[in-house]
Amino acid sequence: MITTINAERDTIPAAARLTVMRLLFAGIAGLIFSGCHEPSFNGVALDPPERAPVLRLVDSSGARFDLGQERGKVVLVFFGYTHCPDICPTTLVDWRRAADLLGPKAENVRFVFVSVDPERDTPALTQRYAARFSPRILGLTGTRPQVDAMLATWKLASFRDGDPGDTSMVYTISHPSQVFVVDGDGQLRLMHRAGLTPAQVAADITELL
Amino acid sequence: MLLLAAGCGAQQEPAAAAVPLEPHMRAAEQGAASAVYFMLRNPSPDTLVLRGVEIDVAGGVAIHRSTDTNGMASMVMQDSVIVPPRDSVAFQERGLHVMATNLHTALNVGDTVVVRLLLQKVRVDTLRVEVRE
Repeated sequence: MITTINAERDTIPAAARLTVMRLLFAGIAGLIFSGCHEPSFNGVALDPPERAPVLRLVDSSGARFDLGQERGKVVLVFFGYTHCPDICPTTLVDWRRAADLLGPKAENVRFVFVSVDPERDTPALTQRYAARFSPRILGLTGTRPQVDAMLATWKLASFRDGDPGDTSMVYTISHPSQVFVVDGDGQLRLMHRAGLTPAQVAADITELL
Repeated sequence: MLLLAAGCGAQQEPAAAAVPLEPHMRAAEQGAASAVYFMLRNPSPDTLVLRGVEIDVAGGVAIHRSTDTNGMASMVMQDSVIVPPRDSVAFQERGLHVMATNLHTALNVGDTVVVRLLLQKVRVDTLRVEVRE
């Protein structure tokens, strides 16, 4: 039986066999890399994308922000606090620069900074802080129960550093370092790790617009 | 949601600082926090130790290092910073920095702030840092 099969295979011309092998290889390679053709992102892509978690808070003017109502816009969400000296302001400066690079396209982008420190950050303070970097950045927070519920919904953690018994109002907070990017269909698409350049952030947004 | 799959090769390492690290401080409101960034160089043949920092406009000052572990940003206080002979240490965004808290006055872009670096046991170097966004 084995001899017969080999004999049949030998009846195929060598050039044809080579062509078939090339096609097979191309097909397999195509299957392997089919997910990479485009778009290409600088952030980490969720594969597959999933519905963005609920983010519903009242802003400093009393208006309700609902992430679910931001259809048609790309929304970037970052969780930090206004007394944060390094990571948070650096991220917001990068957002402002990314918005500048986007030009008119930035009209279709929402930059949302959410404070996880409601003990010190009121909605008004959070909005004023965010606006220092750019009027395009929306600053939000809520009550402690609201913030805790929101973090749980996003499956994220944040906590006050240091001694749990310390009641001082001077403290730092550990918080998520990533920026979450939601597309115009409300799908959580990307996670921007800290350190992406404004140009890389703008490029990802452009891909999603 | 946290089970994030990497994309197809587009993932990149954070970009290195593209500009020289000139001394500067982050603009901030009165009562808020800011950070100072600079390059600490040690041209001498001896080890240099930064044991503290003083900033008159700040109610509190601490040397911190920002860390990013599994997507969680934290800051770790540094008692001192050692610069080996003929080497340098960068105080830069998302890394080692001087945290200034409870600012007595607002820091606006273009302002200049005096920062004193407490080096070795007795030496004090004064740094004039520009306030930037």
